[in-house]
Amino acid sequence: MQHQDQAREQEAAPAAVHAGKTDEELLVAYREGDRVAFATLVERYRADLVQFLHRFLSSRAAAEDVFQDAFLQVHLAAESFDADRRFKPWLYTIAANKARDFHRKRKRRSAASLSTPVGAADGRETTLVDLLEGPSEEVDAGLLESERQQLVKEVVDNMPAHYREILLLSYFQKLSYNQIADSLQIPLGTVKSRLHASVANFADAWKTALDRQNQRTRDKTS
Amino acid sequence: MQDHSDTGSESSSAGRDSSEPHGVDPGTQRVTSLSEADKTAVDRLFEDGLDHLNQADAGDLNDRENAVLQVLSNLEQYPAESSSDELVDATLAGIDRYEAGRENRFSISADQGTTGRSIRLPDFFATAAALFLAVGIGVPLFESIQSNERITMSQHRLGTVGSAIAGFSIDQGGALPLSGSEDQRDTPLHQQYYSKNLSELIDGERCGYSNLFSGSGDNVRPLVGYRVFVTRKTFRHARFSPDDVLISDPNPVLDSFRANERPNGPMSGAVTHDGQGLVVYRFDGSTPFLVEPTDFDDHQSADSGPSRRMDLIWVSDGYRHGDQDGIGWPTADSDDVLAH
Repeated sequence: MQHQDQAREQEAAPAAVHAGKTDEELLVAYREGDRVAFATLVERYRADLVQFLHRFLSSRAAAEDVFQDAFLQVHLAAESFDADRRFKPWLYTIAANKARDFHRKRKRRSAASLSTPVGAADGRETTLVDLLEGPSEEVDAGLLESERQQLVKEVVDNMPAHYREILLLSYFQKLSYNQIADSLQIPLGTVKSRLHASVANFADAWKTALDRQNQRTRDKTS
Repeated sequence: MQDHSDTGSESSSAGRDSSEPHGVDPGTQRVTSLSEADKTAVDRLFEDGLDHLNQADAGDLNDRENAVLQVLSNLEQYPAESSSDELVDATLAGIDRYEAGRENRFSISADQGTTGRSIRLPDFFATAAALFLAVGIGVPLFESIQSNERITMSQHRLGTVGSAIAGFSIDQGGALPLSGSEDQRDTPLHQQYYSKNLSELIDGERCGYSNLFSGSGDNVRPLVGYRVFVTRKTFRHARFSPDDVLISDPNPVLDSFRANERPNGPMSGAVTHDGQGLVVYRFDGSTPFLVEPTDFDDHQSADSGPSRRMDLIWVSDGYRHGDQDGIGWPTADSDDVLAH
């Protein structure tokens, strides 16, 4: 229990000693034997990474398991980390890989092929400005918070994993296209096209969900 | 980075299973994609990271960018609970457990090593047998793997250069590359780097320098033997049959002359393969590994007994083993002389 003991011994210290350090500096310090630096890194990413994984995996328990796996991998691969690169995309690369492994093992839904050609000739275009208008807008405004949460969860959980992943990385983690390309190890062009597809997918699904909710409400009142 | 954006024109239905209901209208099986204007809005917002948008920028957002953000802001309603404080401890404890497990595995083997048992006869024989197997099977196997690796590398290199020559020839109306000077036939082959005739392939970025040469300056070493032309005019793709050899591993007879040594003994292969064969690239694109490229014949020399007649891959017709002047230039298109 070296990590825990040392981390506890210096419980007051990490915040003060490591607060101003960058992630990369913390990992380098850890490589040199500073275990508190590692605890600081884990703490620093606890909220963000677990939330990302929770949204990605649709389960908090799974998110916490994968979080621990990801940091075990960071510990094992710390020596190979290039300190000239950013830690955050590297961590999210590891976490996303672990999450995908988890998905595969769980096999809750069959994975969509990432190489599937997309963009059918008869495809319709979604205009986001249009989506915000019309009957859905009224339903949207009238939703209770709990209803809205449930709807969002349904929509997000039903998105293909690779769409959900890129949307979460760009919207919540605020990663740039280059960082996402690094994290997911895909070409920059694919990042763009996949994010476009992902936004379209979410917007369309959200509108469909609102329409369904509208129908349910009408059914109830009639 | 390779751009695969051609596969990503926004959304798909093909190949998806029915459990992915969104993005595909189940009634019409039509797919949804963003308009070009919305794509631009998404790129402007996210390309440099959402953090890039500071307060000042936020006021500059156009309707479409605001629409994108408004739609996506619904994501924030996803009921993701915050993690517990114990997660940090649990993570660190997990790593400690992992490390403890790893140390135990090592310490078990260390304990076994310190028991101080005396060596028993069966152990001795078992060890001896293992060593015998390692030497008797392992070493030849290792050498065989290395040899196969060298062959594969040669085949890959020659395949790359052969394809580059084919591409060049197509673009040049059938002519094969001859970058060297007009008067190169005045110089014996062993006194020049004949494969410089292929340098147009590098200049035209059809293949890399490392495919043709290793080292640089005085230490340059050609890696590819190239068919020697008879006349520039007739050196054209169409004049050769599919079985004819176009390029090969370096010619060992030339290497011998360059080292001021007459070829000594059977020349059975390129230096690249420890003299044990060579890879050739034929006009049909095949890259066979020839184990015995050297011919022996029973032509008798009047004064020195049986002479060796080198395979015509190495030397031109009429060459005799006793020649002191190196390899002469071929005089007929049928001569498959390869020089580097």
